[in-house]
Amino acid sequence: MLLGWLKMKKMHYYSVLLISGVTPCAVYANNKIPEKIPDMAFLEYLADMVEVNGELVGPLDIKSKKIKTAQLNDKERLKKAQNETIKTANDKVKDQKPKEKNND
Amino acid sequence: MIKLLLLTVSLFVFIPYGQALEWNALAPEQQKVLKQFSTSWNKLPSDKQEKLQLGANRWISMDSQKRSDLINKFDQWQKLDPQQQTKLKQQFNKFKQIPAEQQQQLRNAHQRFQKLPQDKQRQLMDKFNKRNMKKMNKKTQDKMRQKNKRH
Repeated sequence: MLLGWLKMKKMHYYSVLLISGVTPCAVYANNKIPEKIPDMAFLEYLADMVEVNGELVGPLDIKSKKIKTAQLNDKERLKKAQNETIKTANDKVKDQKPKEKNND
Repeated sequence: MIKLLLLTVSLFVFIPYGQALEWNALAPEQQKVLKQFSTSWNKLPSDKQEKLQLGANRWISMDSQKRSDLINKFDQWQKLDPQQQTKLKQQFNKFKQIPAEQQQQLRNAHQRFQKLPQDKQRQLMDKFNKRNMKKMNKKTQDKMRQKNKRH
């Protein structure tokens, strides 16, 4: 009888543990984190996107990564190249002028 | 004069303001997403209403994964400087103006490029920049020639 009583107590103990473990999970499952309700800015951003290949593409999707191609910056290289061409063009003009004078 | 005034006023009263969309004309799912605008909906301009409706439709058609991806993207967008945002918007508006086929091609090329290893990306960028520089040099040379001709 004592053994039976002990078994019953164990069962009761385990059932209490089980219920106390399950109910928080059930409560958590029911109290899901509410889904984001889109605001005006978000909806406008979404509306501005374009469908390409069945996918919505936005301004960030066409943004190109900055890749370091050389020691110099791209702009600096372009400027340098432009200055060089201007120099060579000016030099050519200078060379031509004395020749024209000599021809006269 | 008064008759003319009355006529013009009556015209403005009876001409429909754009093609405004009534709140009750929205589907229940759309109303759920746009709930926060229910009181001010009729006061919004029609183009705004259309935009919000389109945004709501797209949101409704998305699954939870796409929604979370989009939320992350939007967060990134909001973190950008206003200058960067305007620059990207300008680029994006240009992209929108090109035909759909070209958009697809560009998008595919962009995706392929992003998947390449960094050194390959660097090589391609170098090539592209060299070509651009040559073009720029030609342009400046032509300009200088024209200037010299005038003198």
